Amino acid sequence: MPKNRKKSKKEGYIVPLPFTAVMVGAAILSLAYLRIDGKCDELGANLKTLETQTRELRRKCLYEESCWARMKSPRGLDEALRRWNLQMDWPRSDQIVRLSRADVKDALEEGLRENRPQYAQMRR
Amino acid sequence: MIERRSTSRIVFVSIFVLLVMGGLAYRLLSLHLGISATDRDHVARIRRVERLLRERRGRIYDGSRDANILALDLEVKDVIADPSILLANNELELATEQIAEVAGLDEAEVMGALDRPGRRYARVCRNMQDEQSEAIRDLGLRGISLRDATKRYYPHNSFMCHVIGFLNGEGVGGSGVEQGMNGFLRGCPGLVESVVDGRRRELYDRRVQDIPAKTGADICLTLDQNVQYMAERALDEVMERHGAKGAWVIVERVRTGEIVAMASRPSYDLNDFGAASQEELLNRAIGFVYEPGSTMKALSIAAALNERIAERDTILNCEDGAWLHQGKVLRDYHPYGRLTVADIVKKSSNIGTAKLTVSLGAQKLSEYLTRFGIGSKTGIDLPGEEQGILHPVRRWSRISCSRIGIGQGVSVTALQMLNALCAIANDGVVMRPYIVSRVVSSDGVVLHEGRPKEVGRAISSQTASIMRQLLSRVTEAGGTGTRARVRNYSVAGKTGTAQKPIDGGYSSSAYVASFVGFVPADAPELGIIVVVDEPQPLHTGGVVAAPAFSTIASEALSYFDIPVPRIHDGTEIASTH
Repeated sequence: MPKNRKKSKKEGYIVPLPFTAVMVGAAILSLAYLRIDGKCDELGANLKTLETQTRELRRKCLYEESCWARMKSPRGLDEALRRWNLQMDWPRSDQIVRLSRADVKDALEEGLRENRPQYAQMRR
Repeated sequence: MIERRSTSRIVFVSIFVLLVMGGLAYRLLSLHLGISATDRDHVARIRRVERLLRERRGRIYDGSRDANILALDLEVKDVIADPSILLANNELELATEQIAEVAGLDEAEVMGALDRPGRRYARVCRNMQDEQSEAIRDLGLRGISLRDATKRYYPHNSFMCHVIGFLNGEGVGGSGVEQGMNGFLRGCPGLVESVVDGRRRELYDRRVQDIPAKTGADICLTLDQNVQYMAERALDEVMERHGAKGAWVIVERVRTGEIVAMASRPSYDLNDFGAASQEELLNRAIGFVYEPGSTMKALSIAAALNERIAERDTILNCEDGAWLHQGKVLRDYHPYGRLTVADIVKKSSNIGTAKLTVSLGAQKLSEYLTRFGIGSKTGIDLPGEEQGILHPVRRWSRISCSRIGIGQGVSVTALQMLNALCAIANDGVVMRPYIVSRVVSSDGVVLHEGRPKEVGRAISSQTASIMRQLLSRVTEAGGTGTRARVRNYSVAGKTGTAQKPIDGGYSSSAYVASFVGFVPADAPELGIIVVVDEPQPLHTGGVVAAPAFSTIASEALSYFDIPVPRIHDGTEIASTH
């Protein structure tokens, strides 16, 4: 017994197990909290960035839409044609070649049967 | 000794750590549980934030297959300044110079906005587009920031301006469809109510309310931007060639009452409506009342034929150009002797028409004009429509019956006149004109659909058929409207040249020239009216308005691919210039 007492004195002060457990637990909880907090912050920042990006993209999209609407307006097209010295007009009724679905079907069947190019019947 | 010291240190540190943690725990608990109700409310109030989400106003589209955008909301930036910071840093002049250069503004204007000692807020400029706002941000000026804003934008500037209308400074429609359909177009702002942390960062999981902004409904018009362009181009040409004070045109589908084009001159830029005068803002197609002159003869003769006062071949004496009636002389532009009713229409004889309306009687004439919609609003879905002037019969003078029939002493809008003529084209049935084809909510639900609506029958189908034939003779050789002809199509219509009323009489130099008609005459599809205010020096409807009618009709017929009517033996009706 005296021998054992001597040995324990050499090992120094032993921190009680419950206390250690509490401290380690507190440290783990703190680290977990820090980790979660960091993650939340990161997600929050991500959300904010994405919201800003969405807003920005929507804004750009609207801007492009307005530009496109202006470009394809009759006045815009007219100006473009003038710029390239092109003269275009709506075709008169007698200038329009009409193809009806029935014509195309007949011509297709006939062409396939006789193994020659297929033409639809034109009607002016 | 050493062991004891070590032990006491550990104990001391442990006690210290425990004390600190205990203190923190106490603080934590007291913050959560021990805080007084007043303080808790105060803290909650500080941490709560409410953010209003801007709503987007609905768009306006035209009626073509492509559904072209005519009006939309753009997200822009306002430049905001804190003058006190600029003054404190002595950067006022630098900021003024740089902002004015980037934004293209006058330096004095920018200085005026910024040089306000003691103020913490000043709006330097509004509605900045992408490039400009980014350039201002890149300047990195302290005390200058950008704020998100919304701007109503009209990509086509003055195109279709009177129909679309504009949004005023308070965000309310000021005219046209923007005003008439404001209830549908305006959206509903959203709201985000949330909590922020100590650094004013939003805690996303603590959002109390997240109500998204509701976008306003989109409006689809019946107007087709291509036909509208044809009409506007023709109007510009008329304005330039005849030095007119104003001109306006409407194109309507005769069977349904759909308005395909409506234009008025002078016009204004929708994106700068503040600079427009009252004259420019007026949509003359529905808001300008004028004496129709001879175009009214189409209605009064239709009434006489419908009442069987005369047949198309009945001959009337046109008194060689001057007829004394009720003590007043009525004159024809060209003197005529005996004319059939058909020729009275073709030659536009005042005396012949007046004799027919006198035979018809005031009461009947008034009844028929009312049935055609004269003197009352057509009910088009646009604000600012005038109802014209058709006095009740009891207020008519002795000569009113002979004058109203030829378009004097009665006032109409172009839309009324066109709609009445479209009734003749539509077998005598008057349709309600409409300009809004559909209203669709942001989630795709159709809230309103414009449908053809019959207002009533003005004349019988047989009379309408006869009138179509008589009106198509107006554009044949010898008629007053030969310049309204369209290659390959027959055109029916009526010219009108009215002196403008001034001080109880009529001006000898100011006229309103018009042509109203429909094409093709045999199978009507489109009704068109062209009105020119004070053309100079030529002033007759046949010379001034009819050519514009022809241009618009010709292009619109091609555009809509309306087939050339064929007569029974299979040959096309040939009517050439």
